[in-house]
Amino acid sequence: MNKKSNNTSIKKPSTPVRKLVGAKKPNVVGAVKPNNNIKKSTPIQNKPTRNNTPTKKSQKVEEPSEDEEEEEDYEDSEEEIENKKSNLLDSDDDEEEEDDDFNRKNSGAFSDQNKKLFKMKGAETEEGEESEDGEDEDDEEDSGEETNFERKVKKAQIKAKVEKAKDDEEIKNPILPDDVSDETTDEEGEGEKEEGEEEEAKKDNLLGIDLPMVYQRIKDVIATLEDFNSQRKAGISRQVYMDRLKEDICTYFGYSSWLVDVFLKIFNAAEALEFFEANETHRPLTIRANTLKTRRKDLAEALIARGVHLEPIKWSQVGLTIYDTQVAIGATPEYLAGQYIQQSASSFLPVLALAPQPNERVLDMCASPGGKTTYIAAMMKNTGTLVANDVNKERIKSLVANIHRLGVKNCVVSNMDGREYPSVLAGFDRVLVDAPCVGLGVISKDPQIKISKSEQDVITCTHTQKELLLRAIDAVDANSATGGIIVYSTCSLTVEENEAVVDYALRNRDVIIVDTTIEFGVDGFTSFRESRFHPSLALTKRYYPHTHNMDGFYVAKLKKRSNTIPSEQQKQKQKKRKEVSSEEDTESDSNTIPSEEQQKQKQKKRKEVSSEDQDTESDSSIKKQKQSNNNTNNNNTNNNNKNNLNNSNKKNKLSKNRYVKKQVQNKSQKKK
Amino acid sequence: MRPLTEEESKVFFEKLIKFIGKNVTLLIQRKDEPYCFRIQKNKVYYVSEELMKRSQNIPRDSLASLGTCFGRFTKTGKFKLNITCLDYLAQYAKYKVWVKPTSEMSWMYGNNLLKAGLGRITEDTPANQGVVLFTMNDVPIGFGVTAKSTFECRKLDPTALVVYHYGDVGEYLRDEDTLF
Repeated sequence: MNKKSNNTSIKKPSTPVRKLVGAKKPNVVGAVKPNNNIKKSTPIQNKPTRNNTPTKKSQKVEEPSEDEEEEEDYEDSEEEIENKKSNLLDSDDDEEEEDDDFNRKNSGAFSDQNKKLFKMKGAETEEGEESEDGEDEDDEEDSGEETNFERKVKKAQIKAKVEKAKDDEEIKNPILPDDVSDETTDEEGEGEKEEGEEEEAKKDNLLGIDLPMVYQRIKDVIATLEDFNSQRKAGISRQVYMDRLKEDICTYFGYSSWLVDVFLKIFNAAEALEFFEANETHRPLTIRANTLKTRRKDLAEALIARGVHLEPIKWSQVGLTIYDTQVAIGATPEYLAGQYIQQSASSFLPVLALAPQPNERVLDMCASPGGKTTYIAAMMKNTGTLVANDVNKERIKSLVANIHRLGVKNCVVSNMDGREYPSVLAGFDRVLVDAPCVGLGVISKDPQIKISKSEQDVITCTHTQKELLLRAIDAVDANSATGGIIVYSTCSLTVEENEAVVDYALRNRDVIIVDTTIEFGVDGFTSFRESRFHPSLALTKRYYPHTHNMDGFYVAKLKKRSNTIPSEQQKQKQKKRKEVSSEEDTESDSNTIPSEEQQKQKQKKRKEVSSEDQDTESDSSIKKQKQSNNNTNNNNTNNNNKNNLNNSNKKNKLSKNRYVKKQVQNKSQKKK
Repeated sequence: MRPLTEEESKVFFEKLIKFIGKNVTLLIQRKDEPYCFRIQKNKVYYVSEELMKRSQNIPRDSLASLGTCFGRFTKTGKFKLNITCLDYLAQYAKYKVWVKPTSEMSWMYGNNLLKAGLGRITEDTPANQGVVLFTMNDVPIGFGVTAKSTFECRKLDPTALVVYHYGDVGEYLRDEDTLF
């Protein structure tokens, strides 16, 4: 425990608070003692022995040339260190200046809020300490009570720190104003011991995390980015600022750098910060009244009688937000009697968009744990046919339990891959695909997502999502009198998992996007960086934790126009073409010398095929993308034809050669 | 998924009759829509015929549930009613017991009902009769078997058993893993 407290004192930021740091100094020395032969006044020396690389960097950073004299005053300090420092210091004048800036900046950032920041720090630096301890002594880390997750976070943070130290020289400048020279000289006069402390503190800042400072810097950078032309420091590109911002966010919020990248592409810097902050707090607890068994009003009264503070959700007929409760909300008699279900507000949305009607046939492709399924059943008033499916056998239990508890009687539950559906059961009026996703919208529920997910997860997810959506569209009957609706939703925010998947469906099936009928939400992207989507994707809706105070979500509503599958039509045409070309081949093989007439016939055939293609083009010309698609396909097929032509020509030549040879042979035979 | 055999139907309906008496016929001959009982993996489901036909397409191994589960056959051939059929039992129950709010939670943790928790009881309920239990707000919370008749109940002291526990809605939480 002593060690920990020592470390905290070490990490505190440098300049303005020296007295504090100085006061704790004895502790520091005590902690260091075991490894150390040297006298008290030189705590600096311990550090270099412990972590070589970072300290060197930190020295570089921290020592302006003016300090040299004072350092000489350290009677007890080791010569080696002095040498290193002086080497570093002498090396580059420009660098020194930059370093000065950095020091000033640090002091500037802290001077206003010192007290607060330090108080916070006492609480927050624990992570930092422990991680440092971890470096020093592995045993200690193991014995600690941290969870795996915490360890991971810490490791990530340490990495970030080290990287940060590397980049510091470049990046300090942009953030700091240039006007600082006087302060530093004044401060230096204060005394050797304090100076030593200061250095140490600085070094530890680079190793340990100074969260408040990082946060302040995030804010500064964002402010700069928002008014880039006037606030930027000359000669520093936006990219440098962005890199700094990414790193700081990684450090402060504990995300993987890939994830920060993803979100910085979706949001602008300021909005991204709001988003990250929103992920640190929990969304309000919401429940849905089960209209099969009760009414929202009655339920609210019953729960209020049990000491639950709640309020109806304005945009929903059945939702209640729970602010405060004295009883376990998942174990009241009302809950067990199936009068309500705990369900996040965002998962109301896809069902509202689906708008199932009584006596329809509805499929919920990825149903567990049944919140949406039971909502669909309630909207259908327990009539018609509801098929709920889920791949995961473990999750099926909760699905069945919820279906029975809420008194759903029109439901069949199947446990298989949703992609098998059109072959097992088809002809549905409506299908809901709440696809499995990376879950970037529910980070507040499961913080592990911050580091556990990678780009590879997104790639695998999008693949299954595309397959599921196409199968879902296939399972719908376009001629349905009331429906023909497909709703696609995810609780993730990446464009790859959302707009791109729907766009893919638009290109491969005869569907159009219709309005979700939900009044709020952010419009979907029609263009995102290098990708361009169909303009109607603006009708899809996105929901963000920081703007709507619900889990991040995406909802798209599709209407099926016909049961034909464009891609299969194309395949059939390609087959025709192949048949034609294969005929050519066989002809060319069989007839050693193709006559001119035959060649003309073949050309005619080819023309017919290509004219068919043009016809199909005009049909699908409604959608530009499809057109382009077809064009590319046609080009391909044309190429194929050309290849075939070439091949056949070659064969002709070959056969001619053979013919010539034969003739020669014949002649020779005759001669004989 | 298949219809019940004669043997199975006999065992099943005997059990059901204990709770809802002659109303069993109302379950089978419904005016709105034809319903039927089907057995799938030892569990008996009560399901509309249309839904039953649709679910015939689904492979037997992947069919997890259809309609409402009434209970299951044990390996020894006995039938056990599950709490999932409470809706129908409550709808057709002949004899009912109302539980005082103070004893609701005790019942939902799987305990027997004592005289102290007895709010109301249907007139002339015999002993050893299947009953459905309600809260005082008429929300069904389980079913059980009476230990004493209505007449005897009046004289009992507060700690005496009135209804033996058979099933309660708390099982949705307690036995979710084994129930489904």
